Amino acid sequence: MNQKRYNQRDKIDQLLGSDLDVDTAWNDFGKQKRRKRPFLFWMFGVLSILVLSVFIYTTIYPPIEVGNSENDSDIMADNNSTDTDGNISLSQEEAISDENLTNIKADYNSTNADGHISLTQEEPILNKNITTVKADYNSTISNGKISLNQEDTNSNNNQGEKFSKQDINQTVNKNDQIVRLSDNTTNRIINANKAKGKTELKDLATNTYQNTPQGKQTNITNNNKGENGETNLDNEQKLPFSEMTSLSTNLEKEIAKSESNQPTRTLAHTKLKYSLLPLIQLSELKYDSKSQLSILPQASAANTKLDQKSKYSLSLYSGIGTFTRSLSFSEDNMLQQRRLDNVKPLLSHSIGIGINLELTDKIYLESGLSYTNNISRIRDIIQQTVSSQQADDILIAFQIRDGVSQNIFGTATVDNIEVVEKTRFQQYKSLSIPITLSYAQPINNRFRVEFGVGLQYALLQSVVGETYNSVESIGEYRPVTDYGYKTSNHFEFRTHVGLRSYISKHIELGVRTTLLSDIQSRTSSLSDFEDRFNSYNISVHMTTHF
Amino acid sequence: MNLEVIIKKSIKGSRHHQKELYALLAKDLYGLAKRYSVDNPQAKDYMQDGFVKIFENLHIYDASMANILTWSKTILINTILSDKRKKTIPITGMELIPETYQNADENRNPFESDDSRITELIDALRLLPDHYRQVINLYFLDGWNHQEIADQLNIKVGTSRSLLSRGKQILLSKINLKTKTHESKAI
Repeated sequence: MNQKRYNQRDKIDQLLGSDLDVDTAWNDFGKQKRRKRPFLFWMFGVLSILVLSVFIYTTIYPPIEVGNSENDSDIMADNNSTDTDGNISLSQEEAISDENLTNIKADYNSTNADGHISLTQEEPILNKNITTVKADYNSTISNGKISLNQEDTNSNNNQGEKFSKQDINQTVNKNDQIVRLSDNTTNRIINANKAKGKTELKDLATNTYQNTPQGKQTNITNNNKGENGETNLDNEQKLPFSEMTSLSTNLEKEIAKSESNQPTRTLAHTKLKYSLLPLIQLSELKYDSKSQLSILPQASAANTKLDQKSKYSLSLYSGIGTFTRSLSFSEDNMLQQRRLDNVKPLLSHSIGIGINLELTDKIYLESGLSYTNNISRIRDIIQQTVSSQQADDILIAFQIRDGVSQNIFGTATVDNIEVVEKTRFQQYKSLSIPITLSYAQPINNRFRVEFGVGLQYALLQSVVGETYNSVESIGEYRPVTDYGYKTSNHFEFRTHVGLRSYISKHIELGVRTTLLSDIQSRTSSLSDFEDRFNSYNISVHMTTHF
Repeated sequence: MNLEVIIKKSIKGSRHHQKELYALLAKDLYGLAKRYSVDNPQAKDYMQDGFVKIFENLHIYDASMANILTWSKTILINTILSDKRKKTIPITGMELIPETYQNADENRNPFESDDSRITELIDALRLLPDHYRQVINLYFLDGWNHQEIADQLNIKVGTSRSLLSRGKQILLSKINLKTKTHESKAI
């Protein structure tokens, strides 16, 4: 374009645009959203981040699970006692997790003239993480042998057990009092007195219960093993000093069986099972009622379910969402260009049935049958001739003769045209078999987050609806099937994140966000264009465990 | 302020400098948008859409190739045509007029006249159907040739010629009709 024409254009534009209020227009421009993304796009992203965050958190700080011996936060106790000729050997391991910033180590060795008592205790306590308290007690008295090894690792993060104060009083020969620890929440005072055949050892760890009889629930199980079979430590002969001391209470971190007929919870490495309830009663622990001794958590459906370790489960699900599509074609394929410009993906919904095989506690394989329907829309504003009529004084020709332009008016047929909007919908349906490997991480007794990846193979596919027939917007359509869409053999990538919760012993409800992405084109190889979908679904799952 | 600085700061996202650039270009672009639209609200929408594209693509602007106004107008024209393509109105009842008339038509630019007549012409132009208005704008005012118009509008070169010729006839007839009316009222 030559400069003269440029100047003419700019002059005209300035003339036409002179009435614009620039400030108002700028304010309007500021309010205008530059890009709009679909709501589900953001929701999928936010949910994914949320679930991933929970997953990472629960991985770093694993929750306590009742009945799961592999969990580091479990409170474990191993007691070995020997009741042959008055020899008692007892060892205890406990896991303590406290909120204190305290490391404690203490070793005690004492020997009695009439026999010998050896006591070793080592207690490292770490804040926020697992704290290990170890105590080894070896004692020998003249009329028998008592060997006691104690190793404690208590977890308070989720157990809810608080060690507000812990005193250990041991009476030996001299009235020596050793203050081992004093801080906000943990105090241990050990008095080692050596007296004639008398050993008094009070571990106020158990006094926690006295101090907080209505304290939080805790999950501790003590089990003891005796060489002659099951041994009840409330037997004075079997544990000679139990009458005078609260040593037994040192072992009583928890009650294995509450009065309310709750099932006994055992740990994997437990060798013997017996209730320490009698010991607590003997050790002057005062509770207002026996119900307050029910310091085990109520057996939730989740716990019960986890214990059952069922292998198979059946899921029903239904979801709704949206999808995007990418049409790719050669540059000269103007028809597909027109489709790309005007087709708007609307809705994606799916229903299905799934069969789950639990490979481990947390990993399971999921398959089944899934029906998916993606709906898109094209909408055109076109001109339609509704009628024709003869009209006079119509410009029918224009000619220049001898440098003079001349308009020729006459009678001509005039079309009455109306502008109409035409809308067409297309449905892309598929019946598929999904295969997904999923990982579920418990976040508490009831909820689990899950993440899965896999493939989906379409057994049957169909396309219903019409699309453009030509490049021109003249309101003519033809069936989408004419464009060479496949009827089967189609693979999709599938991934999901979600949250599941037990609502009863066997039934689980879950919410998932699922992404389905076409690995290959939905059109056949003979087609002159490719069409791929990415769909995002939010679905509700109901799973029945057998 | 130096235009180069305004552009650089605008690319970096400075709202203040973007506003300055906006104020610099707005009236010209609004005028251009008016030529392609049937009414002022539509023209304003086109202009705002064009500014969105301009700010998005400002980083690829090369001052050595064209001045910012010319470049912005090109962006705006493409934005408008892209929007028009989505709402294409069919060309019905199109008759090719003899070639002898066509060349004569194309060589005479009706917009090369005084300001008062230009205003009348633009008003008449905005009353034309979309296809005519686009082709007349692109050919007579924005300096495109028929091949470029045909490519951009997905039509044949011959159709472009016909649209230009017929559009110009209608445009002039509207002007003449208006003049006749004024003359008859005066008599």
